[in-house]
Amino acid sequence: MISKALVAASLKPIILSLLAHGEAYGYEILQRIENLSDGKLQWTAGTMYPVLHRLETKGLITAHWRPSETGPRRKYYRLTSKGSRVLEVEKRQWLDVHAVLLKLWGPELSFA
Amino acid sequence: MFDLDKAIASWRRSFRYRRVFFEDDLEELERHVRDHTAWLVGQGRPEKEAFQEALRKVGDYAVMEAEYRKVFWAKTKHRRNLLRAFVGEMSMLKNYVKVALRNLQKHKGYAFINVAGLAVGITSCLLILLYGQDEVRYDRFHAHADRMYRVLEANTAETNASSMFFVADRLVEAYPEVQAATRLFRHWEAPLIALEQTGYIEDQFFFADSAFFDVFSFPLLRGDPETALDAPFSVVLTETAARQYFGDADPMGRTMRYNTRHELRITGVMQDVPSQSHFRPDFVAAMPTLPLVSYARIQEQWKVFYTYVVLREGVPADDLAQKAEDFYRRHYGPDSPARLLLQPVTEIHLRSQVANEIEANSDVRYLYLLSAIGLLILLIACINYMNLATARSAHRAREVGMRKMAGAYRGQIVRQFFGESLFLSLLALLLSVGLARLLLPVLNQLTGKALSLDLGAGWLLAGGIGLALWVGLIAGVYPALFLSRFHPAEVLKGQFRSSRHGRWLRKSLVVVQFATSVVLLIGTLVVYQQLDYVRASKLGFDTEQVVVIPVQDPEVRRHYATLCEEWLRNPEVVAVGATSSSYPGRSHSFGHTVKRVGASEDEAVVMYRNWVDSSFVGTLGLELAAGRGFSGAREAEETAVLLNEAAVQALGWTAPEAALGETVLLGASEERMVLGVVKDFHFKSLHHRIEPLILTPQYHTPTNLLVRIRPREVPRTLNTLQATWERFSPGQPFTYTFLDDTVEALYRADARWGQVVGYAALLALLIGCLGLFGLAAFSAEQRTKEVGVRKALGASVFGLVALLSGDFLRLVGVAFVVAAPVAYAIMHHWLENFAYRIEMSWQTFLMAGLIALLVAVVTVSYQAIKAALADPVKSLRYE
Repeated sequence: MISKALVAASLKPIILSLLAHGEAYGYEILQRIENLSDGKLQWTAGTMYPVLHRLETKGLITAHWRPSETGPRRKYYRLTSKGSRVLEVEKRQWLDVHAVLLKLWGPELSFA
Repeated sequence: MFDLDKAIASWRRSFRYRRVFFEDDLEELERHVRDHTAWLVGQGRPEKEAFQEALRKVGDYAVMEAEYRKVFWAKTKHRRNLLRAFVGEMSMLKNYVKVALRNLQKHKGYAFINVAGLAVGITSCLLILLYGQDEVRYDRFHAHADRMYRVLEANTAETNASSMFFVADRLVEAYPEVQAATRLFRHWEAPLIALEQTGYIEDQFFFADSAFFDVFSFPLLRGDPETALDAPFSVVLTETAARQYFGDADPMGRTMRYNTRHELRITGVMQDVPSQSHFRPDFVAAMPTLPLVSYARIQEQWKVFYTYVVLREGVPADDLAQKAEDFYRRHYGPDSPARLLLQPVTEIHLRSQVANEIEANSDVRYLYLLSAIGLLILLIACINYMNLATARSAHRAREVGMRKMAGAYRGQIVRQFFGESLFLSLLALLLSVGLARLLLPVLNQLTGKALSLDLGAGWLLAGGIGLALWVGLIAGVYPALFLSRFHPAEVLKGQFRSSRHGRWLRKSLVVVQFATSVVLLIGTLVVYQQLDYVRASKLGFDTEQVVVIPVQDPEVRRHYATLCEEWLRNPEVVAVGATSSSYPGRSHSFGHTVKRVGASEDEAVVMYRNWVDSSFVGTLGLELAAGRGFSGAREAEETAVLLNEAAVQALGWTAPEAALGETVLLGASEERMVLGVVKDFHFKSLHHRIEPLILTPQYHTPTNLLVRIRPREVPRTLNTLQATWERFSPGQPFTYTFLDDTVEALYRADARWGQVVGYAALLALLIGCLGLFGLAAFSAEQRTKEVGVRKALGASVFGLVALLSGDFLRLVGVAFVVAAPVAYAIMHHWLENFAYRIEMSWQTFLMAGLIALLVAVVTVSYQAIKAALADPVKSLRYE
């Protein structure tokens, strides 16, 4: 299980990056992340949606409803240009941190 | 059959009172759950199981709600949906009000105690607010109020409210910043104003310059403000004065007599002066009249004119004061220490304590003290509410538990209890408006004003509601925070225990309440003791049965000796004396320098002076320490003087006898011989030490006659005096005052304070008792079972009462211990106002403590006895 702090810190960049590939709705995002991480990242709806909403109030993503074939409509989220600029900043920061860690862990690094 | 839609609908309903979820959010979540369920079904799971797992996978609901709440406000702003949030709040409010009302009905007694306590607190504040806003408004009705100043002369010894005649003219000449200036003068001998047969001594008769109406805003109902005060012998009177003399007839152009000798022509009628003015003229005569009806010396030499100026727009007073820094030096001489000060007229009433005021002013410190007392009482009322609310928390605990179970979070509960306290507070406000109306006459009597409760006044409405809101907030803060803390699980299981912390706090609140009451009680007792002491003090002269009769008519003055002889023929008249200046209880002329022959300038003593005839000393009953009094031999004793013991001591003699026959220099060069020394007597109030006084003989212009009469048949004697008087002076009405009233008036302010503190003590005690009553009732209720058991085991009623009351009475004891030193310190400070004062005795303190204890006992014992007499069978039977 990945630590809470790490999960929380990575929510924002992961969501923004995922939406950079195209629009998606909540449940879809959840499923994709679970797949991408091989089950290591299991977000809950309760924690994810508030984050999406906050990103929306900050103007990093926008949302619109699409009617569905069965039952209630779906709320789709999409990255804005401001969002992609912020994403670039986040990316830089993560990569910088990552580079340091790589140097420290050096040759012992192995992907199990 | 599992119905997904029904299940989902039911699931959505559980979010109904969670206002942090918008409809959109719920829709999104529903979509999510449906998708998840569908996917799980696709994996081969039965629908019901899939649905339940989907619900679980949403996560911890508390955590979710917390997370949604964090984003709630940002979303609201983003959606500009504040209105919807507010409406949500309102619907909760309906529920809160419903519950509050239900609670009120269920526990009417406690509710009443709460509301009553708060109402008493709010009423006190309302009344004090009423008084305060009247005081603050003095002199603000003038059009130029913010640019209007009184000119003061600040000297080394004192600052004077009055100036010399020339000041006004010179200021207008020399400084263009001065837009207008006027002098005001009131003669120390109030004139007799007569119209044919009706005559009165008018003590609010003023002289003023023609610019009077330019400076002050006293509207004229008849006459032209530009010219009304131009010509000598013109006079303007108020509408009430006009009605008094002329009835409904038009007074314009008519003439009235001034002191039987001069004729004044009425050139205007002005509106009655509002009570919020630092001076209240009934008559205003043109200044050029003054030298024609009185001494020319007044204008040339005496510092008795009140000078007022209006500065031009935009001129700060400090600038002018700076420029005029050398004003007095230019007129009095380069060595003069006198400085010119500009005093804003609006500050006179509350902040002016200089010498020679027109009327005795109020003091802003009274206002502060009253406000402090009002706030104190309000605080006690809030403490009461807090105490009762938290004491009865057991009753509310179940409700709180249920609400929390249903999903309410702490903030909502806090808001609910605040809502309740605000609601009760507003109820209390309604009650207190009625109470204030009732108590208004008491306030008016205390303050000598004529205040009224005008509900239409905006400030009163705003003030009252603001007050109620604050009270609701303060009173509700502790109960709201305390009650919202309960853990639903504990509470619903019945494991509620009153926390130690809470109980200790409640006890200390009771102590604070009663300590305040005790301090106020002690204050009241000490004030009344001091006043009693003052009244009973040997003043050095006899105040009983001395009638003071003012004399204006020059005819009477000339023949006063004969008048006195006539009076003395009456066996009920013991003695008659005359003074040409003052008498005890009135201010005496000051500033007279006296020094021994051969002494240097700095050994001169500045003292008070009175001009009296030979019978004055005897009539007042003054005792002589050495020598003798004036004999009436006018020529022989022309340069004789009497000194009091303080004067003798100040001049450096070791004993009164040593001064006899000695010569002193009065003023610059008058040589006088000391004929006798009077024992010190209190010619001023006991607030002041007895100061040096010199008495000089005068027989030809008595201003006041003092008549000592026997205590029997006083009205008859007065009538006889009047009859004789009228033979001598058919024109002047016979008016008199009693000397002891005049002396008593010196302490009027103190007596009023005693009353105020007394009422405050009463109120504090009342509120304290309300609280104690409630707490005692509650405590008895809590211990019903215990009492039942004890009784069944054979405890006596007395023992039970002692048991139930013991705790509370001990608290009162602690309150006393806390209060005593505080009260001592405060009263010691107050007593320092008096040069002659009592020593505070321990009996006084004890008495206050016993009163508080007695009141507490009575309050508590009602509940205790009721509980002790209850049938143990009944109390043990029910849960």
